[in-house]
Amino acid sequence: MSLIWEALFSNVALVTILIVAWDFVSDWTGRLPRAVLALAFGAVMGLGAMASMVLAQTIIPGFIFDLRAPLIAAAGFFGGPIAAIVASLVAIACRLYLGGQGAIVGVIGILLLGAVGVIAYYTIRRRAQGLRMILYFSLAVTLGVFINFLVLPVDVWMALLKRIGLPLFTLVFVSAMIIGFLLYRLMRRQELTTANFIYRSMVDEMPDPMSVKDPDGRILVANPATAALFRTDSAEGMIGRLDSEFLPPKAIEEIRQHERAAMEAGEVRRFENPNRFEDDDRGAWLSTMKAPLRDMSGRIIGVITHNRDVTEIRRANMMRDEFISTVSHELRTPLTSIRGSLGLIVSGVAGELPPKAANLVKIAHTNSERLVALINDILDIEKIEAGKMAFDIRKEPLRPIVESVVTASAAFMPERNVAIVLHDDAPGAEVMVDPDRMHQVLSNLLSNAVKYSPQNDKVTVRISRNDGYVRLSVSDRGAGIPEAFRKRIFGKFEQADASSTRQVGGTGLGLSIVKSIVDRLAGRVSFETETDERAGSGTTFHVDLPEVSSARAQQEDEVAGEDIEAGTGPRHRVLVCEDDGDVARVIQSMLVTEGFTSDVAATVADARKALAERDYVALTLDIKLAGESGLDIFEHLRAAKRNSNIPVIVVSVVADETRRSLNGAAVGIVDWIQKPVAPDRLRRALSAHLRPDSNAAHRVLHVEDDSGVQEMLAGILGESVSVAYAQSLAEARAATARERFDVVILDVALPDGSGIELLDGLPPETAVIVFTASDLDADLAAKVDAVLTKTKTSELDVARMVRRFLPGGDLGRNNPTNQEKGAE
Amino acid sequence: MTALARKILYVDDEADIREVAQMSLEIDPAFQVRQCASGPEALTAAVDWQPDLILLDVMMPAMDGPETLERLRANPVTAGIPVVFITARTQSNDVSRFLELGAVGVIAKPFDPMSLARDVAGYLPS
Repeated sequence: MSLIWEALFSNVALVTILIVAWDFVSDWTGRLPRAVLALAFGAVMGLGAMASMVLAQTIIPGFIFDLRAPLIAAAGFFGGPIAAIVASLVAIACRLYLGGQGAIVGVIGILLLGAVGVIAYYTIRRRAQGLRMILYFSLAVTLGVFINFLVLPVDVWMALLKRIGLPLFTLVFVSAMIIGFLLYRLMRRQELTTANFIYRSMVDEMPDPMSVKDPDGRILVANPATAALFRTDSAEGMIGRLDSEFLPPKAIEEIRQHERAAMEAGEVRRFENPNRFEDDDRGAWLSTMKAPLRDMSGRIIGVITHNRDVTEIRRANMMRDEFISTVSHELRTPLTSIRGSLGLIVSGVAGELPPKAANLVKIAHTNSERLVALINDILDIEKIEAGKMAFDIRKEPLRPIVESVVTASAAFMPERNVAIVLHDDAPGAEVMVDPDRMHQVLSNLLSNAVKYSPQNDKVTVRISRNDGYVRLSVSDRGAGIPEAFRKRIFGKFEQADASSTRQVGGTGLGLSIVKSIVDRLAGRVSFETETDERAGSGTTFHVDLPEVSSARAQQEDEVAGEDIEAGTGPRHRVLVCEDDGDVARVIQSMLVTEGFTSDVAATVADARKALAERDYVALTLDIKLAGESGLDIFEHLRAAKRNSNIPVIVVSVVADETRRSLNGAAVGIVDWIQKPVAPDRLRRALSAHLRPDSNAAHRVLHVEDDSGVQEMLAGILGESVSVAYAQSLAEARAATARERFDVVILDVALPDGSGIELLDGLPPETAVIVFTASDLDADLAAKVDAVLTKTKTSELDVARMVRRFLPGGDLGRNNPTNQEKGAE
Repeated sequence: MTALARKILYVDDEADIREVAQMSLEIDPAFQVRQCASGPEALTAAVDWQPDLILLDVMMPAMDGPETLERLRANPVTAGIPVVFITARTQSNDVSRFLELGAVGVIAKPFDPMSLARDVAGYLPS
């Protein structure tokens, strides 16, 4: 009994050695053509089967019990039909040579196992993977051997089974498992090698330089294009070397900065920079992409670089700009004469025309106007898209802008007789806009609304508040926007119906311009439309712009970018680290309304300088600062003497991502705000983390219904004086009931009554300066501290007077004389 | 407002545009218009005629608008005459450059013939 176990065990060893040997030569055999490899594999498995038979111990004369079965099956299973046939033939030849009573049964068994291997190759290999696949293979082999037994007469195989069944089937199964396992590993390794080779080729054959570096700049992978860019012979020779061996230190510094930015942000970053390897003045440019390299646990361990030569693209862009500029000039010059001549004729300056001729000239004139509009629109679109349209963004009340557009549009298409009605549900609402661009936005929307309105109808313009935004809505009662067109509405040269261009005019660029401009103003455009006439068809376009609260509005200067004047003033200062001037202005204006002054730093260097020079109560930080990482500021902050523990509010388009990848608490980040910044959100962050101004400025209440006068006076009074506003008697009463003022500047003629009525409710320590256009009688004048007359007194003098009445001024409350009464 | 005649010098190398511009300006009966086809011509006319305002094209051969303006400023006799550029180049950086050069305004081509006189009147010193 032990003999058969021993015999078969030695066979297991033999089979194992054979497979290991095959594995050993696989690096070499891996390069053989597929068919040759299959032949060789079949031959080796066949020879293994042969050795197995030859070395088997004779247990029953004429019969050979050995482990050829898993080898022959493995030939088919791992090598396919060709390998199976080769292995089977070799084994059959050997078995026939050895002869004996069991030769035929043996040959049948070999054929059977060859078939099992091939069938398994087409079934199991396709359906199972890993250990499960090996298990199924082994079971199939064992089953094959059992079936082979059934060829013999029943009593014979029953007897055989009893005698050697257990060891034979056990060891067939075990050796099939071993063979399966080893060959499976080999197969996987070869697959990986192939995949690796494909990836490698992908990188190497790429004409764009690609490389992978560790955080120190050591090159881990580089393709031949990188070697060519770095002016070195072989890509392989670059591996393990530092990029600083190839580039000047200044370039390396910048590259490191870019790479850090990508790694810290954990996302792809793109940069455009001159090609530093080009020594001539060809003006070569590279567009560089830096992506973080992560290990399998997701940790960032390096950076992937991809470069592309964009010299030609840049050159083409420059040529295009020049071309457009030239074309626009060349087109406009003849158009000036055409439009001018036609305009003069149509207006009758050149005398009366016969009716038919007049009609023709009118057509020509209308179309010359259209051509002018089209050229202007195209140039605008071009400018906006190239980022070349200058935006002069400042804090403006929305209503006057809207009013001027409505007035200007009233004469638009007089033949349609469409009235424009303005509703202001948000009086005094102020927004950060470029008034000229806002004008463009609204006149585009209005001309659309008028064009698509029914004859003699009306268009409604409404200003309202909507969750921190000021909403400007333009509604018509036209046919509505067809379903199919709604998605494309903000595209270029899009009009609902191409034939409508001729009917309603327009360039098809209007809404595209509107959207581009509103995007730049940090606003949103949306529309509602109804095409069903029964439900009351029509379209409303909404433009939402972040509202600037006017509660404590300050003068324009403070909102402008470079507020680095010498006097610090008593108010607390916030440093705004932001490279986009428009966004910085928006944030600054929000800060102003919260009672803070601010400085702007557009680069990491600026921020460091500012932090070293001044004390700040807080820092708002954009993660992306002009290609640098805003996070670089922290290194400096922690080490600095000044401002080292100020709260930091991150304001960024990547706020959410960065928050996840960075432990904010460690560096003093108190809040994260995603761009675009909603005013409410910033307000909340500020009030939660910053102390409001405790060193209260002198309080002045300006009661005045003309916002122009208010603005001007606020500008002159400057930031050392905190001015509250009231536009009506009711507002003024509410303000004086709420807090104590040092000075009240009072206009007499208010929409809801006389300003004089306010006097009775004022505490005696409040000085009152009347600033009014109407003459005041002597009795009333006696009740107030000073009377100044509009048109005779400038705002500058009013401001001077206010200062004299403030605590510390020569007419401060301890010295309540009325001698300045009537001063002009 | 005032019955006083206002002298406007219009400088442009395009004869057609000069013609149209003159007619457009003369819609205002107070305007007296004289045309010049080039920068050098304008310099002479400015000295001889002493206009109240000069409308100056930018792109002209030989001596362009900015250069003409510079020379007008250099001569004490013409230095005080307000100059308005009238040009098809109205990209905002162009406009701000023109204003930096000392022009009091910029009017875009193609201009509206019916409102040109009004626009120009706005630039005249009152």
